[in-house]
Amino acid sequence: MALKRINKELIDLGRDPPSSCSAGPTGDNMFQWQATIMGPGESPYAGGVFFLSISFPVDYPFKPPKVSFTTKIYHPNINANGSICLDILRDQWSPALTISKVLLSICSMLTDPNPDDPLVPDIAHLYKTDRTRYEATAREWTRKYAM
Amino acid sequence: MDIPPRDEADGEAGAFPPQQRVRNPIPQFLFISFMLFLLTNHNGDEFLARHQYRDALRTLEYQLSNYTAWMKGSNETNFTVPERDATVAPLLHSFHVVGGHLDSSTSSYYANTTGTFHGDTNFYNVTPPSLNDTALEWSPIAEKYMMDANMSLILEKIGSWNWSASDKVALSLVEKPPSFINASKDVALVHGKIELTHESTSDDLRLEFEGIHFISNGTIHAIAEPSGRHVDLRFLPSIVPETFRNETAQIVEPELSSRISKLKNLIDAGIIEQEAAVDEVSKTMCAFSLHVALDHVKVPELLLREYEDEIQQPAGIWTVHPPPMSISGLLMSKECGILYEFHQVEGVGLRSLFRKLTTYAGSSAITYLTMLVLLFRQMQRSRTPSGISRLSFWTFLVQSTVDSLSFAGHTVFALVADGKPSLSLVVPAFLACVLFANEAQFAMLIQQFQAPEDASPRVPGPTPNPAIPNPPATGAPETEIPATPLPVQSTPGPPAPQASPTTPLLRQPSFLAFFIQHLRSDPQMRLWLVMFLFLTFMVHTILSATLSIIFVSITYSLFWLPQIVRSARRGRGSGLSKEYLVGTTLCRLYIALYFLLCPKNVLDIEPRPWATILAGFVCFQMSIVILQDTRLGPTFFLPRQYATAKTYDYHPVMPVTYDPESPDPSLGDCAICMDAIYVDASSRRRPTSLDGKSDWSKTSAKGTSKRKATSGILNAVQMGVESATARKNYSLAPCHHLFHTECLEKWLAIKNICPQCRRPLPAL
Repeated sequence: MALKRINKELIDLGRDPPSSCSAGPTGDNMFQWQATIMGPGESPYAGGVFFLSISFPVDYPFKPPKVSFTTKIYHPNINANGSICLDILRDQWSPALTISKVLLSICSMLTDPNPDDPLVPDIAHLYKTDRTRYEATAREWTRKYAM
Repeated sequence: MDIPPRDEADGEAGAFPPQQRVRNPIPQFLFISFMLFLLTNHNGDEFLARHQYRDALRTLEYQLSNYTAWMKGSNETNFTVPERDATVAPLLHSFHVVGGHLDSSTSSYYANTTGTFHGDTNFYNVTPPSLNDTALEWSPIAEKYMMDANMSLILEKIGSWNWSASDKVALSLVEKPPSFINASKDVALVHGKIELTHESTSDDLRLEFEGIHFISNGTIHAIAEPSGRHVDLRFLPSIVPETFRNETAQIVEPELSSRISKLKNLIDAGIIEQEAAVDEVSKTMCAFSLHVALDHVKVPELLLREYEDEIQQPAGIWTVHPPPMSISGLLMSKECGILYEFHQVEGVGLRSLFRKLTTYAGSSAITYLTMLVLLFRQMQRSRTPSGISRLSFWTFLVQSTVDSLSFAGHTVFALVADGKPSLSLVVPAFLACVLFANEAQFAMLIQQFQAPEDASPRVPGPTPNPAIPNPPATGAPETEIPATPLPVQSTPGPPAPQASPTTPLLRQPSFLAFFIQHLRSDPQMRLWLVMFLFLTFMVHTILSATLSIIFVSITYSLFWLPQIVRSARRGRGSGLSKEYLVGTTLCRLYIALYFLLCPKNVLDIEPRPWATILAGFVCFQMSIVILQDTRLGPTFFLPRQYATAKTYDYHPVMPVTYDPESPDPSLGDCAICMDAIYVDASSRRRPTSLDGKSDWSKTSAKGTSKRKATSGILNAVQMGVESATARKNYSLAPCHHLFHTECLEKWLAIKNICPQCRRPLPAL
C-alpha cells in the first residue's frame, strides 16, 4: 500500500508541480526521496535553494515521513542537523497529508518562523528581540550554503 | 557570526517547551510546599522530642532514687508506696476475679499472656450517689471502696468521655519476663493497651497499662492511665495482694534502672522517635487499676508449658492443642467511681494471630494475582481503539484507586505488624501496587483514546465550523488540511495556554483571585490540585477506619456503574469478557467481605450486615454489564423512550448515479490511499458479468417466461446481498469524508480522528 501511494504522489507531483518546490526519489528506492525548496521571496532565505531528504516509513500514509534539511539553514525551527520542528511531521500527522502539502508547510515556515516553539532557542530569541540581526545572519547563511 | 548551538540530541528531544518559561512558578511552588506541609504533619521538631526524652529520663532517675530509698527503708525522701486498699480484695472476690493455685496435673494457667483480647464489658457507676440507687449484692462493698470519694474531684477528672456507652473492651498485652538475674520465674512484667469502644459510634478511648503477672495463680495487676500520661511503676506494689508485695517491689527496681539505661542509650545514639501517641488526656484524667484473672485451662501444666515453649521456639514436636486463652477482670477507678467488668474475654495469642496473618496474606496475594492476570488478559483483548473506546475510564480509575488504597493499607499493616508476618504481607502489597499501576495506566490509555470524542459534546468540536476562530489554547491546527498548507505549529509540549497566565499576575493583587484565575487557565494547576486533594484524602482514609469503610463501600458500589452508563449511552456493549467481569467482581468482593463479614478477620473489624447488600448490588451491576453484551442490547433495562443511544452507521446507502457513459462509478478518491472508491467492488466487473448473463440467456434461449421471472428474483436477491456487502467497502465519516473502510480502519487504530478534518470519529 505504501509503495502504491508513494507512486501516486510522485505522479501527482509530476502532473501538478508546486510552484517553489520539487521532489522525487533519489535512486531506485522509492522510499528515499530528495526535495528542493526555493527560499520564499519575502524571506531572508530568498534566492537560496535548499535540499531536503525525505524517507518514507514502510507504513507510510499512517506514519509521517522523515523530512530533514541537508542544506545548512539559519532558522529558529531547524537545527544544525537539519531536523525540522513541525507538528504535522510529528503527532499532528494525518494520512490525508501529502509530500507536496508538507513541503508547502515548510515553505510557509521559512516565511513565518514560530519562535514560540523553537528548536534552537538562541535563534528564536534573536528573532524575537533583534529581527534585523536575525535576518542578516539568515541571509548570510543562505548566501554561504544555499547559493 | 552566530553559530547555531549544536543540538546533539535528535531534534525531537531538543524541542524546548517555552510554556515553562512563560508560566509563573511561584504558585506551583507555594502549592507543593503547602501540600508537603500538610502531608508531613509533625507535632513538633526533633529538638522538642529530644527535650522530652531528657525530661523522661530525669523523671525516671528521680523515681528510681526515691524508690530505692524506700526499699532500703530510709525516710530521707518523702516517698512511700501506700498500702494496698483493703476494700479492693472483697470487690475482686465478689466479681470472681481471683486466681488460685491449681492442681498442676489436671489444669493450669497460660504463662505467656502476650496477645489480644476482645469482648463485651459491663459498666457500673460506683460513685456514692448512684450506688444508693442500685441494690446489687456487691453494692455495700463498692460503697466501702468509694468511701472517701470526692464528688467534685470526680466530676473534674472524669472528662468528656461517655463511660456508660462503652460496651466493648479490647486488651492487648505484651509480656516481658524479668531481665535481671536470679529473678523469680513466677512473675513477669506486662504492659499494653486497653481500648474501650462504643459499639454504635465506634469511638474509642485508649488506656495504657503497666503491671505484673503472677504466673502461679494466673492473675495480673496493673495500673492504667489514659494514653499520653505515663504510668508510675513505683506504685505497682500498692495494688498487688499483700503476699506478693515484696516480690513486686523487687521487680520494679531493676525494671526502672533498665529503662533508664535504655533511654540513655537512645539519647546517646540520637534515635529520637517522635511519639505519635494520641492524646487521650483531653477525654479523661482518670487513673485506673486493672485486675485480671486468667481462666484456667484443663490441660496439665507440663503439657501447657511444652506447648508454650513450642510456640516460642518451634522444634516441630507434637503438642497439645489447648483451648484459647480467656480472661476475666475488673477495670476500676477509685478517682472517678468507674468500674468495668469483663468475663471470659477470649484472647488471640500472638502466634495464632501470626498464623492468621500469614494465611490472609497468602489468600489475598492469590486474589491479587488472579486479578492481575485477569486484567492483563482483558488488556490484551481490548487493545484496539474501538475496544478501548467501549470501556469506561471511571471503572478502571475507581479500581486503581481502591488498589492504591489497598497497597498503602497492606504496607502500613506490614510495618505495624513487625516481625515475620509482615514479610508475607509485603506480597499482597506489592501485587496491589502492580495492579494499581497497570489499572491507572490502562485508565490513562482509555482517557487518551476517548479524550477527543468526550470533548466533542462540551466544546462544539475542534472544528465545528471553520468560520469560528478557535481559541489558541486548543493547539491543534484548525484549518482543513487539504485546502491550505498548515500554519507552522509548534510541537505541542504540555497543552498549556500560551498567553493567558502571564497577564493576571500584574492585574490581580489578591492571592486568592490570582489563584482562582490560575486554576481556570492552567490545566497543570488543576492536575496538581486534584492530586493534592486525592493524596490528602487517601492519607486520611488510611488513618481512619470509618472513613476507609465508607470509602470502600462507595467505590465498590460505583465500580461497574460507569461502565453500564457508558455502554447504555453509546449503545454498545462493554466488550469486557465474562471471565474478567466475574473474576474481578468475585476477587474484589472476597477481599471486602473478608473484612466486612468475617467475624474473626485479622483487623478485628466488626461484621457489618450491610456488606451483603453491597455484595448483592455489585453482583447485580456485574450481571447488567454482562447482559448488556448479550443480544438484549446495552439499553435493555431502560424504558424504550430513554433508549436513545444511536450508533453511527459508517456504511449508509450512497446515492449512486449510474452514468451509462462512464463504466466506472467512483465516489472519489480515498484521502488515505489516494485510490478511487467504488460503491461496489464488483462494479468494475459488471460488463463481464453482463456478458455472462447474456451468455446464460443465450444458452437457455428456449426458457419459459416463468423461468425468466425466477431468475429475475434470484438476480435481485443477489444484487441486494451484493450491495449490502459492497457498502462495507466504503466508510462515510460523520463529517462527510469518505474513505475505504480498510484504510480508515488502519488509521483509526492509530488515532480516532478524521484524517481530513481532524474531527473525532465514533468507533468503526
